[in-house]
Amino acid sequence: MADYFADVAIVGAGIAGSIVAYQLGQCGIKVLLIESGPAIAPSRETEVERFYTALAKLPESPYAVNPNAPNARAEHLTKCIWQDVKKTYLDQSQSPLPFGSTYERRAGGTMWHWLGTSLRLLPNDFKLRFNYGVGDDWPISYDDLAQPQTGQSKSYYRMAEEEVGVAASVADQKYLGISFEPGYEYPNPALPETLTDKFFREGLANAKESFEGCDVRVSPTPAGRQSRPTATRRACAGNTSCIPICPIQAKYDATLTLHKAFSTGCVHALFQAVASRVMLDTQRKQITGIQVIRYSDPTIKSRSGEDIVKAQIYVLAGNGIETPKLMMHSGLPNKTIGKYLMDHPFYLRWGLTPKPTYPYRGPLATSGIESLRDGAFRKNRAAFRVELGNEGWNLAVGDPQTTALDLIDGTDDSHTNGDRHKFHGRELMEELNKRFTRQFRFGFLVEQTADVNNSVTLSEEVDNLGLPRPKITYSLSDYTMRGFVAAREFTDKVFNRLGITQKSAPRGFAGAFRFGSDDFEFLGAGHIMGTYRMGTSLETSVVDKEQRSWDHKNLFLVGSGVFPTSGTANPTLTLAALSFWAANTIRKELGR
Amino acid sequence: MPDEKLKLKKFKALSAGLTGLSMMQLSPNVDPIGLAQQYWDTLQESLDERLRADVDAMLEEVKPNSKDDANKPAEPADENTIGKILANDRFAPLARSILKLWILGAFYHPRTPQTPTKIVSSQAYKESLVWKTMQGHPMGYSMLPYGHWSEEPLPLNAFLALVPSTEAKHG
Repeated sequence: MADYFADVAIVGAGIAGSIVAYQLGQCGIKVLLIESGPAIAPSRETEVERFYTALAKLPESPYAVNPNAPNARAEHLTKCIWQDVKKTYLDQSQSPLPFGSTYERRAGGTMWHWLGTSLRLLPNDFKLRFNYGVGDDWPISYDDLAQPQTGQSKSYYRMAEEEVGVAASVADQKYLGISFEPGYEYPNPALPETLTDKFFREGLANAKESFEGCDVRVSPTPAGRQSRPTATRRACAGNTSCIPICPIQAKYDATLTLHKAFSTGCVHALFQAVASRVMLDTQRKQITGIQVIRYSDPTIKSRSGEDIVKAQIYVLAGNGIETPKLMMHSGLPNKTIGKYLMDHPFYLRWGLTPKPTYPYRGPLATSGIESLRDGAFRKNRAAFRVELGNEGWNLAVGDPQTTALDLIDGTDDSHTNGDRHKFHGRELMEELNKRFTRQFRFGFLVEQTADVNNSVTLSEEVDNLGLPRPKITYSLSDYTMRGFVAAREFTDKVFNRLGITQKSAPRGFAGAFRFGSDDFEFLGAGHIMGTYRMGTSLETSVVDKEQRSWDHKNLFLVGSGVFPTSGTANPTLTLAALSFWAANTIRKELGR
Repeated sequence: MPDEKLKLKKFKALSAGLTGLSMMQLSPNVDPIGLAQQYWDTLQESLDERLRADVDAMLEEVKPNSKDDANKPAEPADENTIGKILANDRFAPLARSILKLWILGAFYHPRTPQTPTKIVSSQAYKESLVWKTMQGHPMGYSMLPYGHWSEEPLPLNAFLALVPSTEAKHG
């Protein structure tokens, strides 16, 4: 057993941990990162090859299974498996509905398979209770993130957008109260829209469409993708595989920030090092150390020893599942830890456009309908943002395989081969062409209420290191489900208006529920939020607005686990902005 | 019993007939990837003895039929031959497994026709014809430049060199 000493110890080398490490390292603060997974590999070819030859192209497909640091996996989310603790990592045996989001435990974290969407939250997302009497208010406001704080030259959102290299234009992003600091420009110009985007943008603008009193407007999505090449990065080539892996790293991932952190000379990391226990001194309200289990080989069970890391300040930057698991296993007395688990349940509707829109080209999503993210309707139902997919029915029905098999075998799983012809030759190619070039899907990211019963607790099941596995209890409230109903109505209205042939049908997803007389299916969005929420008191939250633990003054918990409400924006940009904030607080506390 | 070289040639002729692809695109003269060989090998490795015999019997239907013809360039199997094969209950599932190899780069056993057993190789994934029917590129493998997605793609015949079908029949 060895002892390591640093000024700041950070558990987790994903985007939050890497940002904090980089910011502190730049000030000469000695940082030690504790990462449960392997270090950054010299190239990503192994991962890309693994993706090409994987039968199921799931978020985790490019990444090797690590029996020492197991993770939530999409392959566990079938109807037959998701509640079977012998076949999964997350214990969902008692959960009413499946929690559908997954994560990676490796240097760079889940940014390896994020989409790149870098939306800001809306001002009203921070005061949902104040405005609509629903959920909670954040202890911070939009302006706390969007305007420079006293003594600072840049806002935290700006710092995050610069770190991620967000491509967008301010003119496109000023809606529903979003404002920017004076003279602000995004670090990179917006990416070009796809032909699908253009079809919807023009069609909906011409129709002057509205929905429940809101304009319906298509806008370009701010993206963590290179829209121009730099000395170190390629421009996006439209590989249409942001999830699960960008083969050319045109999409930002946290390994970029991690490399910069190391280049300060002040940041070091223990890889293949699983934080097993946070050592609490409840009398003095202090963390005194972190116990770490080491293993020698990420491909096989290979526990090799234990270490203790000691620091002045500790930062937990796992995710909304691993961080509360670690804190509960360490005996944190907080009443709120692990509760209020949220995602953006992801609802798909799909059809065929009246003319070819040529999907399967470009980044996975480049535009969305953001104008429905806020309105008086939030008194009654969940809001949503609408992602326009560029990947045809890949996610919706499992194409291109499903449609191809239908036309070859004379089946009709895709609902595009009603007379069950069996095609071959030139005719097969032309029939496939007719379908694939017109495929389209909406993806609704539905706001999820923070419900106290949706939680991460400790399972009686343990992992290969003997650590308790996370136990998930997850469901959707009526308020959230009413958002699904509105999403369905919205789809019908838009598809009808634009002449899109609706092909949505049940797919047998594990995530399924009935509401009223309608059946719905959903997936996870990969947005694990809420389980160590920020708030105004120890009684109702885990951290304060600076993300400092109420229970332990030298402990910070960063990541989207601090979100008190989900809003409808993909959480990465906001959690990155908050990580800059936490780093700034820690820096000042250490007198730098 | 035709030798392996002749079998491979017949396999290419059958594959061209099934896919509608020109022989030049299906199996170019200079062929560093050798998909036809990869797919032939996959069949041989994945099928039991009885089904391999069925493949041989199916190939008997396909020209060229003698060793003398083995040196002439292969021609796509004509629609008559393909129609006969697809009308034969013993051959049709095998023919469709071969068609799926080309379209999807994956092997679907004729006994479990909708469940793939493997992606043949990363080249097979990247070269599978389904991406070309989209006028697109394989997901995760774009050799196209930044911003290409905002323009209409090249026409289908720039992606697929298809032989005009004489009498398109449903199998």
